[in-house]
Amino acid sequence: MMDQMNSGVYSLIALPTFGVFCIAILWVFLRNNLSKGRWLQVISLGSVAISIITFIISTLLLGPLLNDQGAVKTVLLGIRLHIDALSLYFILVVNIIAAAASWNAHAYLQSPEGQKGFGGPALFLGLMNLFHATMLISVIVDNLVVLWIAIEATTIASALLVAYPNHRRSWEAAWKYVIITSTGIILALIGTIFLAHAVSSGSDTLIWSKLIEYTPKTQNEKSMIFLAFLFILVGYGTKAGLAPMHTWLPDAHSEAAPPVSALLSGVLLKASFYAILRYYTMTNVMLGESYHTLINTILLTVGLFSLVLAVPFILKRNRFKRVLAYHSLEHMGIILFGVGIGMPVALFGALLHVLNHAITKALMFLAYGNILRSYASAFGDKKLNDEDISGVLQAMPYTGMLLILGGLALVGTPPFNVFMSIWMILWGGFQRTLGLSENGTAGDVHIGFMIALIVFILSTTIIYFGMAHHLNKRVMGSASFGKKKLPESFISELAPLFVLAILIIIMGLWIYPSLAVLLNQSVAIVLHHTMP
Amino acid sequence: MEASSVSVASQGEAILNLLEASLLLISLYIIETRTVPRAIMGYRIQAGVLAIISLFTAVPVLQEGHVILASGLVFLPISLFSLIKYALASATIPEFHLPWDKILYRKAEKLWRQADFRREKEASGRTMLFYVLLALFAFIIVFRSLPLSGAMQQTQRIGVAVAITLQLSGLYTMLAKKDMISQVIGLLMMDHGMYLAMVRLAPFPHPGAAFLWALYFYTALTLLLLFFLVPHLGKLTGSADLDLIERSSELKG
Repeated sequence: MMDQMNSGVYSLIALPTFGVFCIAILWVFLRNNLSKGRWLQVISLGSVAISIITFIISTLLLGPLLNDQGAVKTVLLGIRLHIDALSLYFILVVNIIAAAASWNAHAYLQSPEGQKGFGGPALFLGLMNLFHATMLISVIVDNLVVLWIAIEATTIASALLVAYPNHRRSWEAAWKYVIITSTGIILALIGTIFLAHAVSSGSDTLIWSKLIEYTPKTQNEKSMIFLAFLFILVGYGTKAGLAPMHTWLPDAHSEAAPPVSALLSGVLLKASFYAILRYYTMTNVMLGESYHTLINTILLTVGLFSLVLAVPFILKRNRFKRVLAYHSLEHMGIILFGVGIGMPVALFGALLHVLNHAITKALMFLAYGNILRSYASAFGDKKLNDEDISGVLQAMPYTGMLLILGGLALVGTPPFNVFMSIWMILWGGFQRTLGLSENGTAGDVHIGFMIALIVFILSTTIIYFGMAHHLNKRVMGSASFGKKKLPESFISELAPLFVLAILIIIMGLWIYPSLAVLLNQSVAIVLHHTMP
Repeated sequence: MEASSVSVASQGEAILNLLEASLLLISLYIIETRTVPRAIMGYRIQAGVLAIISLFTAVPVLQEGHVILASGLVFLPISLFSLIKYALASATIPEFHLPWDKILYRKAEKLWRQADFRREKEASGRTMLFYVLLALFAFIIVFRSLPLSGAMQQTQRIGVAVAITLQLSGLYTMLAKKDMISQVIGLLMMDHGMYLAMVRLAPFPHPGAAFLWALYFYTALTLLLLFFLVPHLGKLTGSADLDLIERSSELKG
């Protein structure tokens, strides 16, 4: 059984990496023997197959990991891997979005914009696979420096993918992305050095699953570990798109190709959040109760600040993809707010929100990408501006409905998935405000939390109306090219969107039992570093 | 015998602190200077001083028999010292590939001299004051709230304070100077700060080696990406001045 699980873990990383090599080999040997369309079909299908198989493997790991093992620990090429419920949860999130994005990539690469990207479709799909592999590595490694390297490695693929559309705006966005995230990530490494210095205990210093058992001996060590956490928060927070280090996010997310925007928003931010979560767990366990409240307050403040900062940018007149990008800032704020509340139910909600936001945002980016492509072809030679997008429901009824569904879900309309996770976070917030302990006994009312909750509710409400306004402008009315209906391809464009939409509806009403177990175990890992 | 070895060690630490102090002065020069070639020169001198500092960590590592690790420690600043100007030239002029191509290199230098510095209009006294404040902030952080362990903690603190100052001044360079080459230098100055923190704090060989290879990875990757992006962006916008690019940019809101 253990051997099978190890093989499963290896193949998780091996498959997307294999995809990169396969595309490179095919590019050398097959490119000239096939027509352009056939060549694109071969590599697109290969990429979709890889991401779907990777997703299936990760779900196959679910059962044994939850029932028997607790965690899989293994070594691959000298690198220690550690997969527990929390890692597996993030693996699932990465794989779901990677599968949807690579499916939609075929439609994007067939379009004139996709064709004229620098390096061509083969490079695009090769980088998508590389991006997928680096994100999977980030969430399964046991070594803190390798984790840092994996997060940094996501930059290689993602920066080039941001630049892929090959126009001025996309290169500018890629430049900003590299400069800002490289600045941030170096602070994460310095934080890791501080941590290693504080706990220096030989070769196990950088293995987080061992490090978590370390007890600081002096107050000096505790201060150093806390300082390390602050550097880590700023460093990985930059890549997670948290305010005020988020300035790369609206540019990169709005200028990248739609499948890339889905990956950036849906999973890259979450992979960096995973790193913060691991350090949060370690720091809390090592420093004990005395620092717990302070750390939670910092997370809560940063989360709330990100949420509030997103409000004016979502309200103002802006290009729709940019509005969606600011929603990522909002939702990362909500997730961090949920963690900062420090109650199990809020943490459960925050973790669930990771998946809910990823699915919903992927649907929005992919649907809007389909709309932009179809409208661009309807406009012909005339340049398409974002203001020209209107009457989507009439011109593209299926995609329009999916966009409305995604938009409503994104701002927390019941009974969709995001509502469910935000409600859990709020419930945790109420518990904290009323001073309720985990076993239900009441304490003093906490005014600070009450104010934070009021700000949270106000901000999300204002954002709701902002999104409704933007959606109304794009979806209702009539298109500027008349009443003509635009083609919507079911297989290549709509199918992945329908899968995401079904998930959005189902997860608003019901949480699959294995997923609930996985989330409960993840909460226990983060809050107590134990399995329930 | 023991007393003499302690004295040698403390002399070594004193030299290290002097070298670290010189890093501060060089970073002030990089921030203050008004032309890109001078900033590059300042950066190269800083890399050279770092290479000497790294020897203090590399020698004991070598004595323990870790030849590759010791070489790796010295090689990173040396390679930055020797290759940076050619790397930046190739970022400025895409046709420039070989270090001995003097004509194209001079063309790159000419372009650097023409780079429009926004800070040129600012009083240099203000920059110096800001720099002193940054350094003070770093020293206060380290001496008041960063507890270090070990026998030589005071001298180690100075190293870490200098490392943080380098990081902050790199960040300041990136914020204040608006041409792309200076921004790359600012980022690389932060890299220097990181390198200094590593040689002063990380226990060698374990886990210091992991940090060293991570830093190699970071430097190579960042330079590779930037040298890929700079020429493309320059070609599409017709300028290396980020202020001008930003003014005409559609990425707003």
